[in-house]
Amino acid sequence: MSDRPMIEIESVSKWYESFRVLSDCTTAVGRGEVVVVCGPSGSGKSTLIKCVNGLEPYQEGRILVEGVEVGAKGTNLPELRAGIGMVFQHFELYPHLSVLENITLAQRQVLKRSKAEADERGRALLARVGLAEKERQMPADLSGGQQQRVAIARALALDPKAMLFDEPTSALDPEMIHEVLAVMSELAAEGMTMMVVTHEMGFARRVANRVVFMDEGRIVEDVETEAFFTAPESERGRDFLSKILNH
Amino acid sequence: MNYSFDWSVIWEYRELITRGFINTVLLSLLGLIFAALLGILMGTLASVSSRRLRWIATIYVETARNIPLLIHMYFWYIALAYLRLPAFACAVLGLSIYSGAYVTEVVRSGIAAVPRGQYAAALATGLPPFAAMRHVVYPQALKIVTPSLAGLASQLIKDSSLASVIAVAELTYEAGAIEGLTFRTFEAYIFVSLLYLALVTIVSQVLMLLTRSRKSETISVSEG
Ligand SMILES: Nc1ncnc2c1ncn2[C@@H]1O[C@H](COP(=O)(O)OP(=O)(O)OP(=O)(O)O)[C@@H](O)[C@H]1O
Ligand SMILES: [Mg+2]
Repeated sequence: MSDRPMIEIESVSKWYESFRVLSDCTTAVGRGEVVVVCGPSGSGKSTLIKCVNGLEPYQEGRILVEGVEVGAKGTNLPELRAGIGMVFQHFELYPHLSVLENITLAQRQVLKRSKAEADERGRALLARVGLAEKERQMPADLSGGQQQRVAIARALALDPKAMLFDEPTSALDPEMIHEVLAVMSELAAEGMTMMVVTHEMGFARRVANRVVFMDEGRIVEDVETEAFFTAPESERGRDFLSKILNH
Repeated sequence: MNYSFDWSVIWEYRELITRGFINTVLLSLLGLIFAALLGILMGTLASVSSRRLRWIATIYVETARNIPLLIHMYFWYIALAYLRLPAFACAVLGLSIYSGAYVTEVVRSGIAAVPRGQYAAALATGLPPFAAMRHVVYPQALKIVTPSLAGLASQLIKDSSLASVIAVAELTYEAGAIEGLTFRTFEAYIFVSLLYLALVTIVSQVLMLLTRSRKSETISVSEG
């Protein structure tokens, strides 16, 4: 039972009207495993990870998080989502709340922590992502890299069992990418279960256990990281790699 | 023109004017509260993904907004006659339903102006849909639409004068009464006009102040 994967995706298909975004996707993320999802633009990477925490519904197949089926009728989605942190390309910090309030909102509303408890946890997390002195600032006053680190702290505040990242560094200036990847690498080293959509192949190669390569809504490859980088099985995988590594 | 003003009638009929003023304030206040509640509810329905719920909001807005307020007043007064509701309650109902349609449109546009990703991010942290709206979407939407809402509030105060047609003793009705008793048309209407002007100015200034202090509140929290 305990060696059951944290996230199981079984033959999942999804349509937008008549357009098939996901076709028969199957993969899994084990406890403490880091899986990088990559593929060309529009291949369905964001859609796939949004299905994992039920932000997007799927029409066929099953997704299980710790054995709980995301798409089942009786599933308590808020509870399931509270156990999975998510980080977005455009940070999505709440602009009307201070940095600390961004991190305490869900702790107080969802976990019902007291203000003192939530603040304490929030400060500890801000220190951890290197932003201890920013708690009173508004998000708009921070750089992109700082905002994304706050967003990671916000997700961690609920003590999630897994983290989903959707291109966390694609909206950042090059000099800020590193500080965000550093926080993510640290998380991975601590044993966090992570599913990461990214085009940062250096990060993938260093941190990921497996790489899932998607194209046109299908999972084309799902292999050990080294295998993907040294000898991608598919033509499309090879193509993608050569483009992204030589751009 | 040698009309000679006689402002003493205002003092003479001060009780009527006071009563009218109080009723106008009450009518406007209740109208504002119910129109706001109705507008938030319907404006939210208008923003959800379910087509059926959006239809409810659309039908409400189109019917309520495209029927003149005067008819709303008569309609509720006559339709609810068998309930023996006081005219005042009918006026509150008519005013709220009519203005609520405008509030709905403003709320809908405010919600639409908040990026979708904000709501998704709130859901992703485990907030249930209502909490995500309450803590993340509404506050941002409110900031965007405050000027429009202040405009609707002044409109509603002026619109409350139409309650006079169903004999609610508010300001306009009392002005008519004084005119009937004294034939001092100008004095009566000029004076109530000044009262409306004062009321509308105060309410819109207060609304603006409220949102401004709300903003400085978040800034002061963030700085100390
Ligand atoms: N709400 C939607 N309605 C219709 N089609 C959509 C919607 N969202 C996404 N799509 C389509 O689904 C496909 C997959 O989108 P998705 O965002 O998952 O791709 P992606 O792999 O994340 O791409 P990118 O690298 O550009 O982020 C795209 O063709 C996109 O146009
Ligand atoms: Mg994407």
